[in-house]
Amino acid sequence: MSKRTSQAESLLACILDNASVSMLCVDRDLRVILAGRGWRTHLRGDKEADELRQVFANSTQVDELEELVRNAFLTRKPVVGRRLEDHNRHYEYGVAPFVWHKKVVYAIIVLRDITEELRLGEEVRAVQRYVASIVESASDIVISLDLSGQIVTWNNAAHRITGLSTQDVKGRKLSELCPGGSGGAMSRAIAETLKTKRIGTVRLPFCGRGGEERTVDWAFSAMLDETGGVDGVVAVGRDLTERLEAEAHLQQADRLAALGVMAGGIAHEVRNPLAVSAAAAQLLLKRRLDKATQAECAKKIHSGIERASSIIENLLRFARPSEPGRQSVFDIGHVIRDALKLLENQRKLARIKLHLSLNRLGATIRGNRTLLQQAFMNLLLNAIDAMPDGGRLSISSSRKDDSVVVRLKDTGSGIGPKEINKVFDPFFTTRPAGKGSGLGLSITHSIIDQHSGHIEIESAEGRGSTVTVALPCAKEGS
Amino acid sequence: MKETRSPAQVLVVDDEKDLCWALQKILEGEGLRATVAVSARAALEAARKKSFQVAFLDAKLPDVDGIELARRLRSLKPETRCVLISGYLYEDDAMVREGLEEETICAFVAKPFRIDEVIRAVRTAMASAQV
Repeated sequence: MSKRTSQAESLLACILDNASVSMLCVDRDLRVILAGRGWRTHLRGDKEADELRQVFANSTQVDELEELVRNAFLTRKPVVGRRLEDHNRHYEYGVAPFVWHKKVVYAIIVLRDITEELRLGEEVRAVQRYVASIVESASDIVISLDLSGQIVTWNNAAHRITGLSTQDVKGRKLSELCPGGSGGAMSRAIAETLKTKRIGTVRLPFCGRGGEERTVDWAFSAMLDETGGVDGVVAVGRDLTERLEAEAHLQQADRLAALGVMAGGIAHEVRNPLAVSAAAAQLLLKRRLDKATQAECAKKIHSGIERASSIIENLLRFARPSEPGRQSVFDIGHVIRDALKLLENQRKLARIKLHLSLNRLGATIRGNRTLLQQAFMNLLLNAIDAMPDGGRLSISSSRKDDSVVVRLKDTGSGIGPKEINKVFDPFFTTRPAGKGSGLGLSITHSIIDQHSGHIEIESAEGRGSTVTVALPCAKEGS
Repeated sequence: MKETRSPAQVLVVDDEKDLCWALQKILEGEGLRATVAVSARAALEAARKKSFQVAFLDAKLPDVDGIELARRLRSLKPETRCVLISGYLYEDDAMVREGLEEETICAFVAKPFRIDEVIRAVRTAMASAQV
């Protein structure tokens, strides 16, 4: 062997060992002549062991490999991009003919180990599947929007709630799916998030399955790219329809419970004016009366009927389910007076003296009147209940900054320190079974919350309680 | 029977002024003289000054119950016969039944009432006073 030949072989061995791909050189008899590091260990130097079939003894794809090598000798054409698995490693390989003096002398197999690549790819796909399944299994609506506000992705919850598929909504604007002119508010909230990158929240009606309107609490957050620029918006929506309905039912149940308590008192309350009207009518019919007494009778009949119907009207207004969205501007003092009127009999029966000092100035608030009357009714019922043997109920209102502060102070039994933290919990009651649902104060709390107000109770056992309710004043011109 | 010539005195006690007015008109139409009181305290004060044959008492007064007032009136003036009147109670309510059995009251009238019910009650009361 000449010095040059041996140098060439060493050079070749060095290249084979250090290349990022591994190479095998195979002769016409499909024996491996040369191999790079890793494969050389397979070679034992004897003819049988060095057969290509033996080197890839663990691979099920060795037949295909042999076929490609034979073809290389026949067709002189290289092939690339084949796959092979051996000893749990994955390879991409190609076969190229080595031509020397117009004759194919060897076939070169070039293998690239792609095991890690495949594993990483699988991991990425698994992560993608995982993330997608989080979005798809979420009970909340998760929608992504592009910079123009058009819908890009739409999850299962969105499909379930609206009945619309991704195909139905892709490319449409989310605001188009808000009924009753609420789309504008939706567009503004999204635009604000795009501009400020801050999370925006808004409660809006949304189109439900079969045209049914749903109430959805939305949170919009900006999707950022690697450079921190805004890429789009993620809209997460929670369907509150059922919860709001359940709350409304609970409020209604509480009102009916309060009505039950009042029923006896109301009967008495209505029968007095009825008795006056009936007696005056009988006097007109049965007695010879002078003109002045006749007129007096007629007047009593009229005023008795008016009183009875005002009691009934107040009662009906209270019993009617409140429309959740119904907002108006009113004086909180009127609401308290109406509630007091409904409970006047209860209060008188318990011989509770009333001390009212309601400040009319600045006591105007915006909200749902029926619900607020219910809230004060619950507080008054509690106060009356705390004073079965009489006492004094003082109600005052005052203006503090931008709020109306109403204070209800009783001289009743009070609440113990152990119980005071629980009074707003639903179903917490100190009354015997059947005497109270334990919902009154928790519903009152939620009603005051709904009006962005605040409620607080201070109490001394045996000396009475003071409830303070603060509600924001209506803005000028609202 | 000197007393029968002068009109019988009736006390009407109800915190509802219009109701007192109605009872007063009915009783005066029957030739009786009615005095009105709007609370138990006012009623007892009036009874101390004057003797009443009959008292119409509302069952729910701002200071004490009608039945309790009847008891106090009768211990003050045993000759006074009491009629309980209420928009809340019924004749078969325990409170009313007990009052009738114990003769704290001698009749019960439910609101709203017919004129002749009131007249019958006052006659019953006056008849029982003469027994």
